[in-house]
Amino acid sequence: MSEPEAPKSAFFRLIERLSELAGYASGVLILVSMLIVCYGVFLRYVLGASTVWQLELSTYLLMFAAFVGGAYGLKHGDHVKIDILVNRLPEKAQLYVRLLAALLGFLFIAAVGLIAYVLWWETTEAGRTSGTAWNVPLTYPYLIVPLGMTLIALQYLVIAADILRQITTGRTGERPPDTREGLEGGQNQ
Amino acid sequence: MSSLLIGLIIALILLIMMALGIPVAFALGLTAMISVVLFLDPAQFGYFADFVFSSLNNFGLLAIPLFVLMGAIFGQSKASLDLLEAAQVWIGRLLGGLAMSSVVACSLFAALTGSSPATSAAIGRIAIPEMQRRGYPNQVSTGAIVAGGTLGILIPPSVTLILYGIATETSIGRLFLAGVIPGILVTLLFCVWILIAMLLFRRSAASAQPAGEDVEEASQVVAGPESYTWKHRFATLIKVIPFIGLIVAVLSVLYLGIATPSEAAAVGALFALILVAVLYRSINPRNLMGIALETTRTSTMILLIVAFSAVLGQIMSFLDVPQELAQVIANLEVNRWVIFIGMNLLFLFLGFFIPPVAIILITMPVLFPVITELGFDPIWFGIVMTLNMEMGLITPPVGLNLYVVQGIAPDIPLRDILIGSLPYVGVLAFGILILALFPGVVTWLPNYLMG
Repeated sequence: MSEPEAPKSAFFRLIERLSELAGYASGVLILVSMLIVCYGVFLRYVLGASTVWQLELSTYLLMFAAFVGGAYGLKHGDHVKIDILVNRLPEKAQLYVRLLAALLGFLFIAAVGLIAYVLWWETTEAGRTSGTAWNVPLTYPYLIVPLGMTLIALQYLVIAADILRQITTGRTGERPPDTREGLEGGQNQ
Repeated sequence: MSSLLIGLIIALILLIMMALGIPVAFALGLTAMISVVLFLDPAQFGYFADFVFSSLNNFGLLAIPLFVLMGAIFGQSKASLDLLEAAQVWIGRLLGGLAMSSVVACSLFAALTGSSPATSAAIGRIAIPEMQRRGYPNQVSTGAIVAGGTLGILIPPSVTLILYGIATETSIGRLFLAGVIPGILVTLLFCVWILIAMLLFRRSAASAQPAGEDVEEASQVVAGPESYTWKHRFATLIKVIPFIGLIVAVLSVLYLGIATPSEAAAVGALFALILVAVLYRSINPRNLMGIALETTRTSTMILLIVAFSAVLGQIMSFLDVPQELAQVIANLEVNRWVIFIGMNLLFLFLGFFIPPVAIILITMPVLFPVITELGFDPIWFGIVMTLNMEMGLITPPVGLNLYVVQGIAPDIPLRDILIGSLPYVGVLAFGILILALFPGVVTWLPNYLMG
């Protein structure tokens, strides 16, 4: 039954790889932002020089980790949710509610992504800049939100498809694709 | 339609979205989006993207991933083992000494990280197997870790205090200092409860098994028969001095106003990395990537909640919800302490279901005007609220620390963990009572140091 779906699952594998990549990029950028802030501190308090781009760039890196890293978080089930009510339902009904939740999540993220693309496009067309000392063209930071939302939305497609497959094959009892893995990692707030 | 009714409808939509199992962050955003469609001009939809972008465009928020990073660096090292040992050689001989040592180690680890489940995980991973080996009752061992871990958000640095500071425009440096003495107080209260629990356990064991001999033996084991030489004691103490030095340094630059919290966090994380690399030699590219990924997972979870709750807060403020609620409550002719208790009950109730980060970000924009209107000190209230949030980490169904401990010790039934942990909710409530009666416990240190 799953045989004819082979090309589709290659597409899904690509999405999952993108989500992984988003996580690795975010992780590296958090380390980079740490170094940038330290460099800023060094410039200001040790050399007495003024900082120009450090605060702004490190803030954009933080936004990258939040919005783009969100896809990695979704893939690994890190986004805290309340599933006590859902868990009480019979298994079949659980799957349908999970599907509904995944679709609502997808729609929301896709909508935010869409309006964020529009905002990004307008900003780029108008050639707006951040108006700070560094005065970076806003087209770069404004791309973070739509990029992140796209990746999260794609990851939601994978999750929805997984749930759908569980519904159609009637295979329940597997780990739901949207729950957290590796709790003993333990860093979750 | 009155703003209060609108607020009620928004709260209802939010509850439904969260009950469906949509991640809290996205449920907040979805609610915000629906509210725009229902109550505002859909033409204002365009602002939504701007709100999302500017919600995180704040250098102050960088302190969160950086303090999480600092905690992840220590969590990955053997630091937790040294902290436990340092506590163990000093108080290990008391009845329940190892459990008390775990709580003390938790409070030390809390000073290295801003997250509670991270604290429970780091100390629990080594302390729970050790307590099991020495015959501690499951309830005592797991309870100590679940409760001890909650100190992560009270003892600075603290992710929730950073968010409280940002949401209410209160000094984060002051909040951090204000958390120190209550943190020590709560650590002591936890230890006292462990002693009481051990005495209760011993008595029930004695009445259940009148043979006498076995009980003596059992309590011997639990008491920890080792004695330590003073040389050994100071040797273990010296091992933890670099960690304590680091946190004292981070706090000092904050309170001296030398650096902002984000800068202190960045320098702290860099020094943590150097410290761990030098002392434990356990940093290589592979586990550095592991630390970075772990930081990403926690950070994106917290920051997306920050982002979308800020958007919802913005929209509620447009709709005059917080302003009107503050007006209504301020006009109530009741004692402010009645309102204080009411708010705490509300936080406690929300804590059953929602993680602390989200509670602070959802309620503070609405309730903070009320708090200042009633003349409560914002710093003091922040610490009281944190104690309340700690209860939420212990109580089911969404007590994050319970599940962390269950993940560490899968062979201990959740029932034992629950029975062992729930008394600490009472201990924390007692702590809030003390803070309400003696507000100086909170305000003395920041006022003394920062004027």
